[in-house]
Amino acid sequence: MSAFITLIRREVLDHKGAMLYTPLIVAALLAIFAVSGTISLWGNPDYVKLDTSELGRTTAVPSPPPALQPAFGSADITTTTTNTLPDNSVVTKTLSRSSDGDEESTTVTVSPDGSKEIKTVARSSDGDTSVTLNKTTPDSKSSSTSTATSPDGDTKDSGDYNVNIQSNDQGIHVGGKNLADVASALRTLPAGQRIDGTRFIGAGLFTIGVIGVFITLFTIPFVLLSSLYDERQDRSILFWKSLPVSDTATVMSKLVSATFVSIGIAFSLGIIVHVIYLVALSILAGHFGIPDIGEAWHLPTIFTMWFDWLLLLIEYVLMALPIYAWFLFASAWSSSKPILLGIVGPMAAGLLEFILLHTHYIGDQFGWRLGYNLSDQLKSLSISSYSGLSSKLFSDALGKILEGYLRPDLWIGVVVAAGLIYATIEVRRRKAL
Amino acid sequence: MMNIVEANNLAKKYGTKQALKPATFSIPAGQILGVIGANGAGKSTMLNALLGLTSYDGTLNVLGKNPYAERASLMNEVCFIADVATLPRWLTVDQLINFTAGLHPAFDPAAARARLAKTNIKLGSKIKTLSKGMVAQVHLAIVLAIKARLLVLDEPTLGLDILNRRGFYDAIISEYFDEERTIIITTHQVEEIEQILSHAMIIRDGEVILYHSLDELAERYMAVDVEENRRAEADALKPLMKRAVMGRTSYLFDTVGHDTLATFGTPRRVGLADLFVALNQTDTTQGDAK
Repeated sequence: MSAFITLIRREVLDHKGAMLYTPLIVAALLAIFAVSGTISLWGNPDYVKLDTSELGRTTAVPSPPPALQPAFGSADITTTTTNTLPDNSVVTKTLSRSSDGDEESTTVTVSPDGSKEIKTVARSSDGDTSVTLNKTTPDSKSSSTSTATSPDGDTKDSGDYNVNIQSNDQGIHVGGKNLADVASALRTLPAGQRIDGTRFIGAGLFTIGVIGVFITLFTIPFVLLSSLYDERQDRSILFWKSLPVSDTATVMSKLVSATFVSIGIAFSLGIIVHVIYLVALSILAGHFGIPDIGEAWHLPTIFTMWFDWLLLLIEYVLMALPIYAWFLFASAWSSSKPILLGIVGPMAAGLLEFILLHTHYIGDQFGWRLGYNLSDQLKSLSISSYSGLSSKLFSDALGKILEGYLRPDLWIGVVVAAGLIYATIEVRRRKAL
Repeated sequence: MMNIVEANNLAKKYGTKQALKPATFSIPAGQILGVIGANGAGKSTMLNALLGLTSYDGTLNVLGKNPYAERASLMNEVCFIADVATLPRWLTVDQLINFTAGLHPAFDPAAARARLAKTNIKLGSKIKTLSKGMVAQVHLAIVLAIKARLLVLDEPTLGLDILNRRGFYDAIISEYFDEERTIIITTHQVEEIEQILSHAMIIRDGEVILYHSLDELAERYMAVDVEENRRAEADALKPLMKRAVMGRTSYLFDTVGHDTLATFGTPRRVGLADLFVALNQTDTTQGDAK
């Protein structure tokens, strides 16, 4: 067993570019993209409205963290909170709500350099919102800006959500909007009309998914196609064969590392990116006083989501296993350019089948098995599957995923893969060079 | 003493080409056997069969095992260097030692590191950055740190300079070899390994035509310079080869007594290289030397 683990380590080291570095770069880009993308969504009034319309489904949200709670307190007449931000600015928030539903919140931010910012957001019960920003710096006179937003969308962006973050002395701008204003606008939503926190968790689906799809479609085929070819090409097979390691153990270690270990790496990276994303959002949200982010840390939802994804990734590998085993066989069999046999071969066979028989069984099998998690299963992992998880143990997606494990064609594929793997072992046994 | 290798009608065909004709032989422990043959004569085919790297006809037993069916377990006790530069180039020396330690129970990584510490090879260097001679030293350090009973070397020093070749064989003899262990070597530099061999096997066109100890060879094959007026006499003794060099004609005889040859001149021991050349040319050149 320890020898098998050594073999796995060898494979990961041999393919560290494809199995570690490239997914790491993808993960890093995703982390940046996910954080900035979400911030730009904050600036999109459509997004906010979308959630208020889905109010019925999102009642089972947990309480926000205490630090943010007062801003969204129940029906208190006036709430005042004072926070000290990481840059030593002191923020004092006052929220007043009259019994007829009119609200006014005032945020006073005093920075360490002496500048003072007073922001007043007034929201009437009929939905009109006005934001007044008053800024005083020690060396200049006060400047004032005012924004008014009405519910019928006078100042809405026309669907242009480009991620465009700028920082200047006026604050941080996302998609042309001052984030401080956006935050104020969000804060003034009536209690209950808050952003669905599962949407932030849902970014986990996106991060794990993109890394997973990248690994399954690019890393695994690439690694498999080279794994038993390169060792013959550089003649190192003669060294490996001088060690007491069977061809079965070698071939299995190459298959397992390329598929399941790769998937494990993708999954771990997805989780790391997800956590980075949530942490980054929490910090930013705390900074701008956006309250709902606390829901994104709903751990049962997060763990259920991760669990589902792991099951789905394994299921995907099992579904694609005959194709992967074919790549491995091609890499053992080819005397030059295994990609020709591995990829161009089936394409040519599929074309021939179409020309001669007017059927497309080969193409269907390749497309269906390699595109499996993209087409069918992916749909079941929509955000709605994870709404209201606090009231139940498993997500709506789990049943769909488990159904996949019961598909006969998944297990037929596994049997076919076993045959191809056996053939691959025999080829490696016979073909020292 | 037990036989390390027992071959019974060992043969190998590639398509219609008979790479190795049926050969029956056994190799006892404690030999340093040189397998000598021209390019494509079947040396490597035979060694690959012994190492379980290729299938074969006939029966073959190496350390009591069927090498093709049981290569992995056989490699616990057999070490081989097949060709120079087979070490995985993408690893560092240290990684290579670690992986070998993880995969070979009889490998002593500390011994390999200690051996390399005496060289100018850095453990952190990638194999691909090392010179050919250094790679050979790394491979040697690994092989010498494995407690194997049979060591097979297939052209282990090809492309190395004379200093590296000499150092390589000196290390093998002084640090690896003892009465219990067996070494099988093929190389084209026959002269260089002749003094370390105890036995020689000559393969010609896939056929094992000779397998003797070097002492037996020295007794059996002798050369003598023959004066021009006595050539007819010498020809009558059926020389294996005649070779005219710089006015002298040297005759090589198989199993003609020392005393008989002494009447022509002083009989000499025949070098392995000369013997090999003679045995390879008997069909084509016998009798046409001037």
